[in-house]
Amino acid sequence: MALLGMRSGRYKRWAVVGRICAWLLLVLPIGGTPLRAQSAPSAEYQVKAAFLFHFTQFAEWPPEAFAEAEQPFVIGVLGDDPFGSYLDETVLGEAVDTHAMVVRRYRRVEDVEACHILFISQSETDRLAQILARLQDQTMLTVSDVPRFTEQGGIIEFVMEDNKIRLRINVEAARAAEVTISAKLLRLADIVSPQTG
Amino acid sequence: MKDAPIQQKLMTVLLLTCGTALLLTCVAFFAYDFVTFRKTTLQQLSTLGEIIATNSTAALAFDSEEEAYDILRALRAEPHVVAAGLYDQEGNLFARYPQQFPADAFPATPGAEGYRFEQGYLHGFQPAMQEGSRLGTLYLRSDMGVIYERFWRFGSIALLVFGVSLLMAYVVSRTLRKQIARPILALAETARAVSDRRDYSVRATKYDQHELGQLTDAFNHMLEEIETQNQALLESEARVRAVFNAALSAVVVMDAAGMIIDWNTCAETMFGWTHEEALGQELAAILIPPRYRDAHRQGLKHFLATGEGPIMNKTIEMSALRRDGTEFPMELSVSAMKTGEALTFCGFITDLTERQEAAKRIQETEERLQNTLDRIAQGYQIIDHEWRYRYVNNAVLEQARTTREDLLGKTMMEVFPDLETTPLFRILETSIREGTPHRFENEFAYPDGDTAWFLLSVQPVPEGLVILSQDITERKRADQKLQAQLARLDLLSHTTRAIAERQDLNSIFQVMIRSLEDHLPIDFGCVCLYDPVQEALTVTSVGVKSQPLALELAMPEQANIEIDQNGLSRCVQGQLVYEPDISEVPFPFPQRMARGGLRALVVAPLLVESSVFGVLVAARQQAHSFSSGDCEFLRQLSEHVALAAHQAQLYSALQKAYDDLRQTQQAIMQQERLSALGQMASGIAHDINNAISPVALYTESLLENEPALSTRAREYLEIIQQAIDDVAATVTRMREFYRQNEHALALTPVHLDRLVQQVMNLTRARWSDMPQERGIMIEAQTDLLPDLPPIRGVEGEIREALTNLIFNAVDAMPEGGTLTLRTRVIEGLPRADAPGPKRVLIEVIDTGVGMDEATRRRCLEPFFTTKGKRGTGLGLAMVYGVAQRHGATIEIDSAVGAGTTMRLIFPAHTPVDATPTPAQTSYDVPSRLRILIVDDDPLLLKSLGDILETDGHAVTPANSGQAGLNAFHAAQARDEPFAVVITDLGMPYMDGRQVARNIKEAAPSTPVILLTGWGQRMVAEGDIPAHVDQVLSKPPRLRELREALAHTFNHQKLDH
Repeated sequence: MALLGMRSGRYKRWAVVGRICAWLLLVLPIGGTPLRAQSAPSAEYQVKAAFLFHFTQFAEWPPEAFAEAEQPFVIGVLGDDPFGSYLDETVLGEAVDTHAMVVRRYRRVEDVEACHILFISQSETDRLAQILARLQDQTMLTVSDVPRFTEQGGIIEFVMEDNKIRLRINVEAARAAEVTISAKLLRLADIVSPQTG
Repeated sequence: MKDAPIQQKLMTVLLLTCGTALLLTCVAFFAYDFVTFRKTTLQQLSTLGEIIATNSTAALAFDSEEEAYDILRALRAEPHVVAAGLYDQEGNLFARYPQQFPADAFPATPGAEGYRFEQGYLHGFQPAMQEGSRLGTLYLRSDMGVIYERFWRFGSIALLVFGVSLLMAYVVSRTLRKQIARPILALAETARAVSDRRDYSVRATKYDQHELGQLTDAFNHMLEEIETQNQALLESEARVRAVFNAALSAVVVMDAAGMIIDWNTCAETMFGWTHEEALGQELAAILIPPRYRDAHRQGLKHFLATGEGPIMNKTIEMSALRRDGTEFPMELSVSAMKTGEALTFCGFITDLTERQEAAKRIQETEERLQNTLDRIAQGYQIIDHEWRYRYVNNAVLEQARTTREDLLGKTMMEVFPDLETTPLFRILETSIREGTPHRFENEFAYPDGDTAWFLLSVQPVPEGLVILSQDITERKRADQKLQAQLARLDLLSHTTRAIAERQDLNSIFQVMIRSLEDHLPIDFGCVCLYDPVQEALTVTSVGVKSQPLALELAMPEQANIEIDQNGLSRCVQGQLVYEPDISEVPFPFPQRMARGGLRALVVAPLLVESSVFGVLVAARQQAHSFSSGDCEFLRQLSEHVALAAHQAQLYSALQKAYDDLRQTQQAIMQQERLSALGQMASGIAHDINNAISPVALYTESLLENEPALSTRAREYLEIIQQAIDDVAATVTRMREFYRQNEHALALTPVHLDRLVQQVMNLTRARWSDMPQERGIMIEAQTDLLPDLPPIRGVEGEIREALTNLIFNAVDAMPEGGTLTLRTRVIEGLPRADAPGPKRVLIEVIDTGVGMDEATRRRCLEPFFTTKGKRGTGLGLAMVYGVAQRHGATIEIDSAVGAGTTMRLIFPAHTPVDATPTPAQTSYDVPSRLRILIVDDDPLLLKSLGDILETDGHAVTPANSGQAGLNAFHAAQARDEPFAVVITDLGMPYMDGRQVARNIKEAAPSTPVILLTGWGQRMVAEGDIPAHVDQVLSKPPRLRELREALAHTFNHQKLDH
């Protein structure tokens, strides 16, 4: 019954969500031509983008994460951006509480600052250890689809299983980053400890 | 049903009522339960849906079908939820439960939010929200099996209850209906009996107290009523017949044919026909005189034809025929009655013969009354409503002193123009207006000024007022006289009562004169006391209102009035004198009164035991104004006053005697108290004297016999001796005031004037120098009578007393003042044979603080002092003692702040032959005497022995009376007798007196000297015991001892 302890959120338009759900049904690519072929990401990344957005609903950041009420909620992408403009479209107009959502892209880990969700691209697989070391103790939900991301200290890892995206969550890391993840989300995910990995 | 017997009806009603009530209860219960249960189920499903929807958000968001199915599967705990499905945001079925429930049985797309009953199902949609955004929709479907199951169960129970209730109701009603039906059936039975037999005496049986019982009662009551009414009807008929027969009028009933059909008893006597004879005859034939018969028959016919009759329902007078043929006047009234179809006529006939005779008699009576009215002494008049005289009898004319013509036809206002302003008029008016009779007395004034009293009785009558008047002038006058008499009596009683409350003469007289002035009344009143020696009257009390007149007449209080020959001398001989007009009396006193405007004078004597001690003078300005009643009243009053005055005098004499007695008693008490204190002081003095004796003796002896004493020792011893002397002096002084009459004191003539000068000089330091040091001036004066006779006394004591008085006076003037010493001679009161002894008075007067009454009374008591620690309280006590011993009296005048006068009054000395005082004989102390001393005090014994041995005597001490006697007898036996015996007085077992007696018995010539602490007192009381030659007081002085020894032996020599 702990699930009943939900945070009451303000109303959000769900047009974007609806679009994501449409993509979820099309896990296998369909033959239709995307609107903009060169910038359109794969269906997989569209789902991941939607997931990134959903994390804002199933996780909580401490108040220190925001210096002021108008500070934006930042979803960062480190390395090569696999989402194209899709992520921007997904979060367009959305907000977490009073914080409007923005997407920022970083080439190097040193550029990362005041970021609440950081997606680490597979392009950074080799530098992952340094990146995570650098991001340690920052209030930041790190997400990646780099294999064994969670075992190395990342918080949420996307894993493909039977053509479905599953989640792995390193609870210890989340606690260290002071990001509280909803039990509902934890129920869906595989819980990973660095020790076990 | 309508025709069913009552028992069945009751049963049916009961069962129907019971069944209906149960049915309604069940329906209501079902309806309620149905509504409530639906609501509850809806609520439960909604809650369940909310939980599931909330839990399934993550599964929806992150596209986890397994998770979604897991959550839905939790619903298997709710058997009534038959299907559940989750739709995603697109409205596609995402997950469903249970698996076997076909997917196409779910709604294709999510419907409107909320739950509803449809086709026996309860189903609905619920959004799954996370953070305010809708992630999907939940569908739930629940079947209604629960409700149906529940209804089935409840229905069975209700049916069972219904059946059992009806059964119970049936059983109960069977017993109850008997209760109701039985009395009703009994009632019905009775009713049937009554109607069948017309027997109203049967009664229904009563079974209970409530409605049916009341019904039975009402039924029985109704039967009773019917029975009573039936009886009453029969009685009434008989009564009507009786009335008919007993009526004083003759009643004749006639039918339409003119035949008589009824005839009462009165008609029998009036007409002479009996009931049987009259019945059936024609009325006209036997009752109507022949000359009227045709008219009667015509009239009857006319009435029968037209219904009109001139005589119907009227009273008419006409003649009737008796059986014997005579006619008589009668009064007839006829009324027609319709009984059924038949018309009857009823005639009431009254015989007028007597009535006409009576009218004649009344007229005669009236005439007689008129005559009588004119002859009676009481006035009788009738006034009509317009105040006109309608009738006056002769007495009225006599009373009003007028003629009939002056009154009749005129109004009262015309006759008496001022009538409307009088109270009489108002009474008459009231009487007319309210129709009430009045009876009152009225004074009538004739035009010539004469008045008369009438008793008026006003009686309203239809034509106006009847006024009866009776002349009561005589009675009224007598009444007034009586009233005056009563008032005087009342005044007398009032005055005597007031006098009885007074005790002094003046107040008694004042009360009397005051009440005379106010109530009799008089214009002048005073009381004069009569002095039979001087033959004069002294005005003692003048009334308050008479004061001004008294001054005018030169008769204020304390004025003397000569007794002249006429009135006053008769009065002082005990007669009441009344002068109706003093202006005609030629004597000085009446003339003096007359000059003050007074004319009538009464002088009443005040008598006690038939001697006149005063007169009461009462006067009025109007001549002849004292009635005999007034004079009698004054005589009685003066008797009462005289008695009261006498009593007052007796009372004051008694009061004075009582006061004297009380003063005497106080003086005696004072003396008693001083005496008691004196005895106490004496006892103390005795003990102290005993105690200091050895000290005195040794000190004296040492000083005399020890020349080798160091200077310091001698000095100390002298101080001791001085101190002992002081102690002895104090003790002596303490006893002073008690000593009544010291025989030993040599009374010599004392010249007080000389003594006063002496004392003034001696005390100058105290009244002049010492106060001046403190800046206080005390002026000393002497006011001495030249050639003051001497008194007998002890100069030293009187000097001391005066000194004490002066000291007290000075002490009483801390702020200074005047001290006066004064001497006077008081001549003795004249006695029958010779003038009493002269007395000499000396006063010490100060202008100091004075004493209050309590202090004044106690100041002579020993130890009483107002000076705190400075005073011993013995000063004035000593003065008192001195005065007592000199037969003098002390008087003290004092008041707080007004100074004090102390007065000593001595009897003057009348020179008698002076007895030559025995000259002091020289003595020579014999030496080497054999002396026996007896004393129980070892210290004293030792010291006395030592001292006497120092003088060369041979001393044998004995410490008790018996030891002393033993020693004395032993010495006698040895033939070495003692030359002298000195013994103490107070000793245990054998006291000094017994010792002395025994010694004198054994050797009468041996002198015995008694040594005692009571010494001076014994001397004072002349109580030198027998067998004692001399008494010495303690502490004994060497010198005194030697003197006593010498004296004893000198006497012996003289005796020999």
